[in-house]
Amino acid sequence: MRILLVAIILLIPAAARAQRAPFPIPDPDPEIERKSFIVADGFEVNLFAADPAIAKPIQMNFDPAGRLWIASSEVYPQIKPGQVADDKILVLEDRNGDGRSDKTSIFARGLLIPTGVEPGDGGAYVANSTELLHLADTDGDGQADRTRVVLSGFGTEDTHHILHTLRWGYDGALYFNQSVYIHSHIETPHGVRRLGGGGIWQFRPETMQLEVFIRGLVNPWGHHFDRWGQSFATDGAGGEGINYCIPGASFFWAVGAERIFPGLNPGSPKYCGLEVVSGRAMPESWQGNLLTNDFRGNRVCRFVLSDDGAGFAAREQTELIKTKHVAFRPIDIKMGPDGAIYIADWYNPIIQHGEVDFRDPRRDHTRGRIWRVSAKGRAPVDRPKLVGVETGALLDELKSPEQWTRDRARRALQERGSANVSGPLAAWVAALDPKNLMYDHHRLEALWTSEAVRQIDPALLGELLRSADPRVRAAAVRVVPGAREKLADPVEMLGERVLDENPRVRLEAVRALSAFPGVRSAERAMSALDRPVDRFLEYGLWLTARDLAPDWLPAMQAGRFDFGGHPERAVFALLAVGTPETVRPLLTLLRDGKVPRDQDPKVQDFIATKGGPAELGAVLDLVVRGEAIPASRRVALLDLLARASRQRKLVPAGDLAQIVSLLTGPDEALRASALRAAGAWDVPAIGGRLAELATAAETPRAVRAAAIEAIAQRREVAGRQTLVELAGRSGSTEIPSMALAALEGIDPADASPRIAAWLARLPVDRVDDGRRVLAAVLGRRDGASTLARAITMANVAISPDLAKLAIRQVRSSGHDEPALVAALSKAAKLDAAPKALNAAEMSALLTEVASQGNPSRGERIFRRKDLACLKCHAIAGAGGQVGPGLESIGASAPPDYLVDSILQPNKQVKEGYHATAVATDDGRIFTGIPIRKTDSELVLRDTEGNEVTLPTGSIVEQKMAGSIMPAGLADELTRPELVDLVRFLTELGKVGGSSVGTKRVLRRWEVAEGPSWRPAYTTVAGLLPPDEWKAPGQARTMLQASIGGPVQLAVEPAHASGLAFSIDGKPITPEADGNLRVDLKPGTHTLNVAIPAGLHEGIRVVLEEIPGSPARVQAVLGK
Amino acid sequence: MRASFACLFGFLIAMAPTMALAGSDPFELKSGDRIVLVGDTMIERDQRYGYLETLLTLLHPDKDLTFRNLGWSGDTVAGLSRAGFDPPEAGHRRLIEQVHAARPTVLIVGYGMADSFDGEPGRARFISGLNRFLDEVADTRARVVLLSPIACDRPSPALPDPSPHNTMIERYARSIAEVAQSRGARFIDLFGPTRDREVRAPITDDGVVPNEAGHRFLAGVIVRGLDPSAGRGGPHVETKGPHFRINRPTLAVLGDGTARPLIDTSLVVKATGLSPGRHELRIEGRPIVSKTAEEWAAGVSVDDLPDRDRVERLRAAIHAKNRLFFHRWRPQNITYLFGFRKHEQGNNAVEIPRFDPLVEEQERAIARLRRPVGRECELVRVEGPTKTTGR
Repeated sequence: MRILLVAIILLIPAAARAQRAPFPIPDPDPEIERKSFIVADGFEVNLFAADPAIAKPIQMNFDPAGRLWIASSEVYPQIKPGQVADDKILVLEDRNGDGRSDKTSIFARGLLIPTGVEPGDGGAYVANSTELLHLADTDGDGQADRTRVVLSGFGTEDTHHILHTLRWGYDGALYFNQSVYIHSHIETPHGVRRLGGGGIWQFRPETMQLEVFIRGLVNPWGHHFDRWGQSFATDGAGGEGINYCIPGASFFWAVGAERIFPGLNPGSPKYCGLEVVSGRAMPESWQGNLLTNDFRGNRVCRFVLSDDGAGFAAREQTELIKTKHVAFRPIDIKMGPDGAIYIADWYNPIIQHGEVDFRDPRRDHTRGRIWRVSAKGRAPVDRPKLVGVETGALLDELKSPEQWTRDRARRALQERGSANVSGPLAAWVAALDPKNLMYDHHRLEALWTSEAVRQIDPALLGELLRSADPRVRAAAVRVVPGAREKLADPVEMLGERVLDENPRVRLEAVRALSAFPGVRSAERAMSALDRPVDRFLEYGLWLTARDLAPDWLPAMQAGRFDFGGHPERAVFALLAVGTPETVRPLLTLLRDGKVPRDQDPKVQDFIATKGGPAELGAVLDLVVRGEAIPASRRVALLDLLARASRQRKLVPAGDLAQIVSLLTGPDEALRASALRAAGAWDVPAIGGRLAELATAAETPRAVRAAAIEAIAQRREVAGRQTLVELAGRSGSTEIPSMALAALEGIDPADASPRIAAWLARLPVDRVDDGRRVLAAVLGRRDGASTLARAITMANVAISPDLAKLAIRQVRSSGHDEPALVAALSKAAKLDAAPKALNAAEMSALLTEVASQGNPSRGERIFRRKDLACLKCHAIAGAGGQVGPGLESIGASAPPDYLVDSILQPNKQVKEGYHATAVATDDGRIFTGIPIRKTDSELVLRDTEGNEVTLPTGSIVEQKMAGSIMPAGLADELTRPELVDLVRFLTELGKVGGSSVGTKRVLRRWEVAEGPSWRPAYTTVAGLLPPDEWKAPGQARTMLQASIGGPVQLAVEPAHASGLAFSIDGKPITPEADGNLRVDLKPGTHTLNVAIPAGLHEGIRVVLEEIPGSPARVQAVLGK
Repeated sequence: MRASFACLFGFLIAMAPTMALAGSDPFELKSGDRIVLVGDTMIERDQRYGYLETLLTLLHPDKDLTFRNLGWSGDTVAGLSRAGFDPPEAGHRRLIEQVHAARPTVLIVGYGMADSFDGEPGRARFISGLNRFLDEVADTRARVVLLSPIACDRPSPALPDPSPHNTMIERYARSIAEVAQSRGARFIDLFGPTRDREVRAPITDDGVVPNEAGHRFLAGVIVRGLDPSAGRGGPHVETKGPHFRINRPTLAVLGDGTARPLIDTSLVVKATGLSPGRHELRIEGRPIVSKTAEEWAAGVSVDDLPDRDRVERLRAAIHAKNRLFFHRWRPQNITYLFGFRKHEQGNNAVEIPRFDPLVEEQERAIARLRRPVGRECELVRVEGPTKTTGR
């Protein structure tokens, strides 16, 4: 008995190991890891520090003495009952300057998941879960002996979201970030600051001023300023690459934001950390480059920044480091005092704690490395002396070529305080050589130093606002609000810069004016519209118009202000605010004919979307009498009016019967639209016409559909009889499907038995008509359960194929309808739904994936039209936008998670992809991913990728649903096919596997199919494969140029005979090397490829820059 | 050997009873009381310092009092900080749930600072919010103590001038006093005592939130507000001969929280009949101080170091208990454990109630530490100059 017991106990861990077998845990030897690195040419890597001297580094920063401070947590992801939180702040020293740490001290311990550390003010600021602490060493023994809670109230809803990325700014403020699930509530002497969702905070410890710098980003785990004070951020969960931080902007997933500002690299993998390369120890071509970490794909990435109008473009280059070592998790990157690059490697085979169990035994809690990367053949920089030196010596360090040195010297000066610094600073500026090429940069450093010590010199500021260098002017503009008390007329100073010849200066000035309430600021800011406005500047203007609205909008409503008689400025600002109060002034401008022609549709749409009855009446008049307006515009406006009555319960004022005049016109779409509107408003005058239009054989399809809809909306007994008659029609399945869908909208109990009987008769090739009816059923609150009962009661038989498709539709609705699924399965005699894999089955499947799975075959399965993966999931931005992008999924998610995600989509759902189910007061339900939420409306993205706007007032219930990925998608796959598919996914994003690479491949195409175009996406390798077209055929793709100029399109296979290219309809002749060179004007362009018969290879087109060309061109991505 | 014990009135704290609406009769705490603290940052920060808990625990060594601190930074009386992902109204609901779950018999409410930034327009809303909150927790039958917010100060010239906002806080404080009076609740004014305090050492680092010294000071004000006669004066020991015993009724005697330590473990020892020369006082064998026989005869103020250590151990145990309770009621990763992603990590939610026995274990340690122990003392003749041990 005892022997048996022992045997069982011994077996348990073995079984547990076996279950994890297909997931190899690498050898933790740092040298093995180092040797696995593929390093960029001309660089080498050495180990600076490793476990056991350090463990689990999360953030690191160097102090002015050159010591490296590390926030380290072994408790992450979650404290266990009985565990004592003893996380640490470590300090590493390289005392002999050999590039290796030779001393580790524990500065502080007893912390709970510290996620950030930034040395300063006699100790260090530490992000400690709910608190920002300042830990000080008052007796100089190297250990913290005084703890001050600086700020508290940061949320901890998710421990990889908590306060992080501490960073001193050029301006002497401490910046820190929080991620998307965090809700922070912080008392300061200036008021309570609250931020729900992601964002970057700006904090001045001495004044306790705390403000939100930018909002959004899912996990803004990287943030840094370039040499000119412009800042950039990366996102560990968004897919936008480098984000250019316009102050006050809202980025991806900003909670409550009406409009988000896109990043510079849509379709990117996710990044962590951000650093700007600078200094003499780095090659010339790397200066000013951005470095960040693809921690999922085990890569350290490099981007080259360049100007793109008011903003920037960022181009990815070959990686600094890449490896197949799955535990290499670079999460922070910093330049060091010796001019080398330092990388914090969190070292873990498991990342994430949302999808992977907190207590997964594969999780590493003790290891960690700091890598040092140096350029071969370049000497390290002499480590500057910034401690215990004269103020004058510190000031001279502001001229250093190394940004690290300048930043830390400025900080050291800040700590000395204004009384000790202002005098020497003025003398230092006076002694600068105006002929020095860097003269104005040195003066900018001085201006920033004066800002940091809160003693800005207005004369210096005034001079730098007129610098010949636009980068200096832009930086100086940003300093103006902080100097307001010393400036005679700051609004005038900024107003001049709004008309600067450089677009970035204009953008900075427009944003800085937000800090000066008043109509004058608004008027000056909007004068930027007199000069060219690109997407960056346009967004900045939109922000400023809204920020200043509390001043100018009431003045405008009272007739005291009209933007100096510039209606185009007024229209822009009113549309930017976009609240119901702006409807009336816009309508006045529209009636007075003052709206610029190209803004007409926007203004009309806005009035129809937000107006009250009187304004809607004005729009209706416009539609009815507006013979001069194109029919498509009239349709769009009528649809908006109909939506206003459906969603906002508002009916246009005035004579509604005038709409009858539109029912007889020649345009079918307009007739249909008028019918829908009339139905929504219940116009009595059309009552008699509806039955006739719905039933007459010659009625056009769209008009009939609208008539049926209108009948349903009127809810009259006679109308219902018409629908019953139509539902029973033979010869067509479409007309009955429309009628049944309409009946379902009126009375599910009556409609359900008819639907059950009709489904039993429906041929499988008419499944689209079935979908229409089922969508109506799923859109009703009790629709699914009522239909389930009807199917069971009637005991009908439904064809298995039809039932399968129906079940798939039910499952993709996002809400669980087990009764309907069961009823359909029973009616079609289908097997029960596939059950979840148990541990042994999972293990067996993963073993097969590892040994027999073929990623190329897997990719072909992934691309199969019947599986429709790409309908919802993009790869590098090309593909559907409903589900998460998959370009790095294999590098981030363990294989068991991938299998679960295919077989049981609801088991683990990626953050941001939880569906929300909303019930409205008219008994309907809507399901989709919440895109944004304001006080007045909720916007969902549905399974088709459409945005659905729901007024908050109409929502009666809202709850979190599961995934909108349908379960059972893989039911049709054979086991070898499933094995291949999983293998393909596990390789995605891995170095040496299927990664999208750094080239800018044109990935999103459309191919001609008869008269229309069908989306087609390239393979991961970037190839548009031959099975996507029927040769001879046509394919096209779109390019977006923000700045015009020549670009190159490299074509593979080069010289393929018979490929003919044209851009915007004009043929292009390939160059001698087979590549295309095109000179693009700003705007959107279409590249067309005529594919000859007989081409059996795929084609690949790469967008390349031509040296010296100003062009900034991006591929258009998306669905 | 005979030791006698007398209490001397050491000092009085100048309290400015600007809004002393509540009577000065003691607010009685009973054995078994569960004292729940709820409020904004001021309350939340005391989880770390624990002065109020320590003091109330020490002053009632024979009563079994337990404490639950539900403070939340930036919170309003409407529970705004507690709403999480949900609309603001959910914050109020959660506040009520949290108070109920803590099963209070005494409820100490410290709201008003975060609310006060809503200015005069927000005051009516604050008053109705406070009444609504108290109505909805009335079924707990807890005896209610309402605290006012403190007066803002300006520990550094870089911080904003507090006077305009103090005008507003004073109005909020007055409103709280009126609510207390109308409901028969105890009101303790913190505004007047913090504004008018004699010791000007800063009690905040940032102007609005009490720092450690501030919490020490406020604990004294609150304890006196509950019972004006609490903990007055230090013990006085008189002995004839070198051997005696200290038997304290409690470990705590109140200082004023700033210039003097809040919890004063010092005592005056007057010893006669000693042989001439220097004598060293040893408490339980631990050297404390040495003085001449003449000095001992006149009376020497000494710090009872073993008791001081014991008090600090108690405060550390209270801090540890508060941390454990924090993991219990406000755990990290709540999104995955109980929120909309609980289908992923909800299996780990079973860990959270396992903090309950750990909280109780700390409370047993607190119960042991709060009781004074009799201490054997001895005056031992020593030669030559001796240095003072201790502070």
